[in-house]
Amino acid sequence: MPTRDSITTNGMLLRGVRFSYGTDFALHIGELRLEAGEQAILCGRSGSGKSTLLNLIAGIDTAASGSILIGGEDILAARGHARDLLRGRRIGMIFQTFNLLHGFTALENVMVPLMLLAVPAHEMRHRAHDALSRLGIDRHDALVDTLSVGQQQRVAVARAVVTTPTLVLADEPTASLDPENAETAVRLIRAACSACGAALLMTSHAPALRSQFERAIDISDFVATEVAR
Amino acid sequence: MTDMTIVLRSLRARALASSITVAMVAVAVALLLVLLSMREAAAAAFRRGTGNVHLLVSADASPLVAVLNGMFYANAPANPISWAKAQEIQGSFPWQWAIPTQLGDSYRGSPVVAAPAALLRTFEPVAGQPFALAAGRHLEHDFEVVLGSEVARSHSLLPGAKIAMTHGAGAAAQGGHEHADHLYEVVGILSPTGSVHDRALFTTLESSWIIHAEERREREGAGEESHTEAGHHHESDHDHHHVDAADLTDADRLVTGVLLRLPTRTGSDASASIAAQFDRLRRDTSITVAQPAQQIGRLMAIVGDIDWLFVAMGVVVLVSSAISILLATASSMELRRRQVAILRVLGASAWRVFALLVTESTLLGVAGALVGLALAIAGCAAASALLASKIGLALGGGIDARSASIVVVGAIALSALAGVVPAAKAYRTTIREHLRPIA
Repeated sequence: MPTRDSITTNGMLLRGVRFSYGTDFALHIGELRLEAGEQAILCGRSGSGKSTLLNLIAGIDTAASGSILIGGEDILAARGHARDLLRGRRIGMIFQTFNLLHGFTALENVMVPLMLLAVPAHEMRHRAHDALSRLGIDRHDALVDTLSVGQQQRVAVARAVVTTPTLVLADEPTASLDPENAETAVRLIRAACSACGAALLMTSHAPALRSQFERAIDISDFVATEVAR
Repeated sequence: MTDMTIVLRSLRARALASSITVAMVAVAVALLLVLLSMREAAAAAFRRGTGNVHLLVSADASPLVAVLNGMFYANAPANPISWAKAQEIQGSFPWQWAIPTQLGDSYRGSPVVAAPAALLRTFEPVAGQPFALAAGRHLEHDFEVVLGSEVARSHSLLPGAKIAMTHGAGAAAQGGHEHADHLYEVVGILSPTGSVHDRALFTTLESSWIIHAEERREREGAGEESHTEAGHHHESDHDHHHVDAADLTDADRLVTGVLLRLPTRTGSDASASIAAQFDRLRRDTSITVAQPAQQIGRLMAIVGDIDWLFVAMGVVVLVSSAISILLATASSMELRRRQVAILRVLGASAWRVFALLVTESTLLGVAGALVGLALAIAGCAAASALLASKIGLALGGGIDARSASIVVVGAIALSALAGVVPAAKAYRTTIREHLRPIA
């Protein structure tokens, strides 16, 4: 069982986070922890604020107050380039539509986050090949546009874990998949995170996926005010 | 994988738009460079043509026309100077040399310069660089001709060839008749001088006088009836009046110009007396006196005003190509906000994305400038070859290095500047909005 100190240094800890869209919507998180390597599903209906919470954790949106520690570093306190670097180093992100860079090869897509962290060229190439191979991609030099949807998702997962992040945030990665493929995708993402020791916070509005996770977090626990949206 | 890879992939993804933008910059750069370089080269070529002549006397309407006709062979001088007047000028001052010339005939469009044989030894087409023979010898007898290098090259003439001259030069040569009764023997070919004189042919004054004296007497003998035709059709059934040097009268001995050079100190091209002699000769209202170097300076000043307009047009084209880079990059930004957002999520700072965009437009400028430079080099070489063969103006065909540096650096700077606006847009891109699933 991780201690409180190990959580603050290796996992994710949100404390006293307040965020609002005018008077329509507000999130108030007294405390939310995710231990190192822990995997949780963030549940809630569409538009309930799941993506907003992920954006706050990733430092894409900025909370009005509180602290968001990722691996012991407060992304909310970091500003500008420091926040971008912290996000690149500590967080991997997976999106519903993958958000791959079109016109780039699978290998290049996976190398981009390493390049942005100034990983040496040789190591960058080696790690990207390794990540793709572990996820079952053999056409590393193929343009992502030429890959199947399933392969594109694997490339997106490889890109999220190649930096061995502290935390992987997956925003509705199964939303456009049928239940069978959704289960496969979740297994793939969980396995990849386990392999690199990253904690995983995945959003989904599909109740069926709850059973795959030991822990489920309900976004409604943190919504302080919600007017019909 | 580097930032440059990202830039190149982005350009490749918009290959058509990128190519068009590069082409626009290239055309603008080439246009500007050709204009600037040809302008410099033309000025230099004109300066070369006047050589070591200090003063030119003719009966043309103005000093500038006198220089253009008498030294650059634009047209045959309209009015002659009598031999007596030419001798009077020659004897009026202790010139270093004074050479009467007669222009008016041509060979397949190239002007024939009739002058004493001393012309080729004393006149320097480029100051400090006298004529040199590439083949054969100088003039020794009448009806011999020495060819400028371009004439020999373009008509494949060698010493020993016999050629007939045509009456008239420049535009007047069209429809002119050949002096077919008197063939000239090519005895020498000059080395290239890089001046307009490379497309001239040189013969003795007496040769020209004899031909024209015979024709004048034939016309006079044929009477008024045939006079109108004889000027343009040399019929074989005309009575033939053979003339030799001893038969020439003052009416036959006409010249169209006198080239004058004042004594100078060794190693100097200037003489303190030029202005004084210029003023003295100008008092004679029957002649026109010109200082060739000064007239060319005036011509360049007139032409300069016009060609600055062309340079301004080139600058406008360059600026418009920069605007097209701006538009191309800005319009693609709508499609690329997602890419920018992805890069930001992966850890790229806003400044890094800004730099990527500016680098992209700068690269378009670099590619356009380099292609434009290559086009300009090819264009200048082609233009100078064309001008050399058509009007004998040797422009060198090179690109002026200073102009090239300014234009290339300017084009790249403008391109970089054109990337700033879309880069600023990218800088302000809201990550959250552009990562949402596409509906």
